[in-house]
Amino acid sequence: MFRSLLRRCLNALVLLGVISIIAFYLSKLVPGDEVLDYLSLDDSKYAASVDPLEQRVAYARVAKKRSLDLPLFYLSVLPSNYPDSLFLILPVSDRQTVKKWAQASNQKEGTIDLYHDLQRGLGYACPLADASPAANQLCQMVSELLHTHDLFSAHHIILRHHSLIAKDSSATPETLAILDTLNKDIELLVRSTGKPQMAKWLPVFYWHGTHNQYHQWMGGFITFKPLTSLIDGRNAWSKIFDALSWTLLLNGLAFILAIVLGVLIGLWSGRHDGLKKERVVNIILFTLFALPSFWLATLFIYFLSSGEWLSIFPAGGLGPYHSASNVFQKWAVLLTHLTLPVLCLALGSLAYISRQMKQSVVNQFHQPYVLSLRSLGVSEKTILRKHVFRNALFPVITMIGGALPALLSGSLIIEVIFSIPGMGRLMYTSLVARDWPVVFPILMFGAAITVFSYILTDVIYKWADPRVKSLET
Amino acid sequence: MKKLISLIRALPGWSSGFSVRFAWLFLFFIGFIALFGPWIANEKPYYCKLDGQSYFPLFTSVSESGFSSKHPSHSPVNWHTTKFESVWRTPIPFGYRTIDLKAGSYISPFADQAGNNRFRHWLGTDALGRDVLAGMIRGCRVSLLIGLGSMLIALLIGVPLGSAAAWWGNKGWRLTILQFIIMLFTCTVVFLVWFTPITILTKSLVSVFLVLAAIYLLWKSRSYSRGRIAVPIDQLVMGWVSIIDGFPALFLILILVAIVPLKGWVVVMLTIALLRWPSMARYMRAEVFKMKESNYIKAAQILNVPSWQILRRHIVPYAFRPVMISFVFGVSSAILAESSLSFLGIGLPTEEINWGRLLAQSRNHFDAWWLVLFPGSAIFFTLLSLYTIGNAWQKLSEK
Repeated sequence: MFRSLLRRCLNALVLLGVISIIAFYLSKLVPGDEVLDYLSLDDSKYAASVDPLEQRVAYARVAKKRSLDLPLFYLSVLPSNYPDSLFLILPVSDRQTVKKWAQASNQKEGTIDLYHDLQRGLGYACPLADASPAANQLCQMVSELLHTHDLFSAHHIILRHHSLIAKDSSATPETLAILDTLNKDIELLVRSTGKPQMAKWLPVFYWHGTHNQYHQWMGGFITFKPLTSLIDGRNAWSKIFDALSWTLLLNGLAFILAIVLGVLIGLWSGRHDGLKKERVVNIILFTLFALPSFWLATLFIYFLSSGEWLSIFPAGGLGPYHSASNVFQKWAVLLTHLTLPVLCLALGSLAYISRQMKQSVVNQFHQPYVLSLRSLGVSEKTILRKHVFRNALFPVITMIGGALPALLSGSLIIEVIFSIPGMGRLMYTSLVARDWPVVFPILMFGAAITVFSYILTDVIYKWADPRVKSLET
Repeated sequence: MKKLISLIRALPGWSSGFSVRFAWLFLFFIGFIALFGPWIANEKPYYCKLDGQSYFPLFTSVSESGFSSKHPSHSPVNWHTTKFESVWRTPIPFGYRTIDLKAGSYISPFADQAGNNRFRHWLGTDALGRDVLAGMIRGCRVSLLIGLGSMLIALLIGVPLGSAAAWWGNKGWRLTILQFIIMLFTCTVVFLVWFTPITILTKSLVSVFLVLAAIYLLWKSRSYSRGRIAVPIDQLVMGWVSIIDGFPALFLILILVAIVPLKGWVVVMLTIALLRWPSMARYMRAEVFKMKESNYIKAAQILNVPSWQILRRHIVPYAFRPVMISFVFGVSSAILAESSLSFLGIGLPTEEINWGRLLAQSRNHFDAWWLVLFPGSAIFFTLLSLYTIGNAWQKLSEK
């Protein structure tokens, strides 16, 4: 048993690794530039400066600081017509442009030459932009070219500016030399567009070692490196633990309520199966089961807290519990605010649990041991309490194991309706804002709990019922 | 007619009680509205006559501006206010996108509404002055399409994978060395093709052709039990199932909506399918495990019926009923998921309207009880009907 447990734990770790890789790649596929998100956080002057060179320097600095200038993964595969250092080109918009040029021309050396010459032009012309109109024009032209994906229109841009700058008296020989090189580079590329090169069909593999973004991220993650949220600059871990405490309180209360009431109602209706009063209860539970929790919440707010009918309960939030004078008052404020959300969460699962429990109790009553207990003259109450109850609990235990991940991930919709700052809402706001430093820990945490809760359920099951021999199925 | 009645009687659970019949009728009603929604609620009339000429605007693509240029004396033409010589309107003369500026936003069903009763908003209007009834009619279509569509995709993925995982297990499917080499070779070539500098269309065509050729070769040389190299199908399938279970649903939905370049409702449908197939596969796996132990399957194995045929002829048809029951419950959970997402404003494009969207609008305007009551009860009764049918069917199959 110990060996199979160990094997399953290892399996779970492998799964977690795969999940982290998929999540990482998915996050990189989302349109938008991550470095730009960090720029506003790390460099407040960035937005003010319009000089393209200064922007680039700031960009490169932030990318280096956040290790976003590294390749994505240990290994990368590129088609043979892409330049070798493609994944090192920054900013990301430049990388897209170079990729398009390489795709069109199939000339990887020529493309990278053009890119380097463009950068040289940027470095030469932009600092002089205030002094000479020709340099200013060159600087603008280079920035425009770096956003032009189509080679032919890039060529046209160069030709247009070439004639203009050639007439300009302020043009230095260097400016003209740079312009000529750029023109030569791009003509080479334009000439080779559309000609497939049969010899270069095999992709090229690159090995980057541990110096890559995934490794850095995962390493920092395992060693609990402090992560900063992009939205407000707070520590991501403390944000998560705050949200987690509210979710645990809310869902824990709902969970306990649902389990206790559900088991009791299940026992009662299993005992009175088929009677009229049981059928009424059954119909009510069935209706509760079909009730969408967000509709129930909206109805609660409309009838009980909006003041249209009654306003017994507060409509949302957690109340002024900070300013409470003692512990009792604090909890009184909190509980009045949590009553409605807890009810909304509990009612649906209560119906489900009690139905399962009832089914299981009815099944137990059909077992032969109940008949023999009855024939021995044991009272129905004792049979129910001492024998049926224990045996009927197993399906419920399995369910508790399955519900564990949901308990911690929180219910987004209820948290949004009642504005409770729990895990669901934190995940939602961080995802919408592309706040990966907060999203990834929540994701990995949730995945770990899901993966390990299966194992845990098996272990509990085996401990509760020694007849379960193997952990295989 | 007799045939229709006998067909209706054959519906699962029809004879087991009044509530199930009612549930079926309700679902048929919703389905009917979903199918014919644009012909029930539309601002364009079925038929109208202007200057002695007859038009069928609903069935032809005549627009208001087209009318205005044809009949300048009536310009600008408006479907509601223009005096047609004769007109035959739809029962609800508002589309789900029609903004009724005259009535205004948040009009209660019982309020004094401007105009005659023909243009009354029977269920009120929403935040932009759109008719709630028209929105709910549109909602039927969206909900059923996403609910049924996503579960069908989940079924098509989950059932074959789940039954294959249970039937062949980790050691049942064995490949000969030649077959293994064919598989490896195909995978490598497809991988290489994917990185060659040719257009995406050519790449896809070449890859599909290669995969089909490999499947044909494997098929022709089938000897799934005699080879040496076992394919751990069970582990592969269950691995994917656990991976998808491990992801938070919200993460997948939000990311896929951002990166998949398809229409909003297609992405929502595909994402719900992606999230639902694991449970379908797990269910099917458990069913086939149970069936594998039964005597008639063992007899078939002893008679040397090929395992492919056992699966196709003896297992999948017999698992049909339990799978359909979980399909019914799955559709209800897909509809619930779709309306929760719309309630939060995720996924569907902003101009789309459905039950969840209507319900969400009540949160900005607490006294709009009609926006709480009607869309919410539409969701509730649809779910209740599906649960009732699923429950009755389950009870029937347990007998």
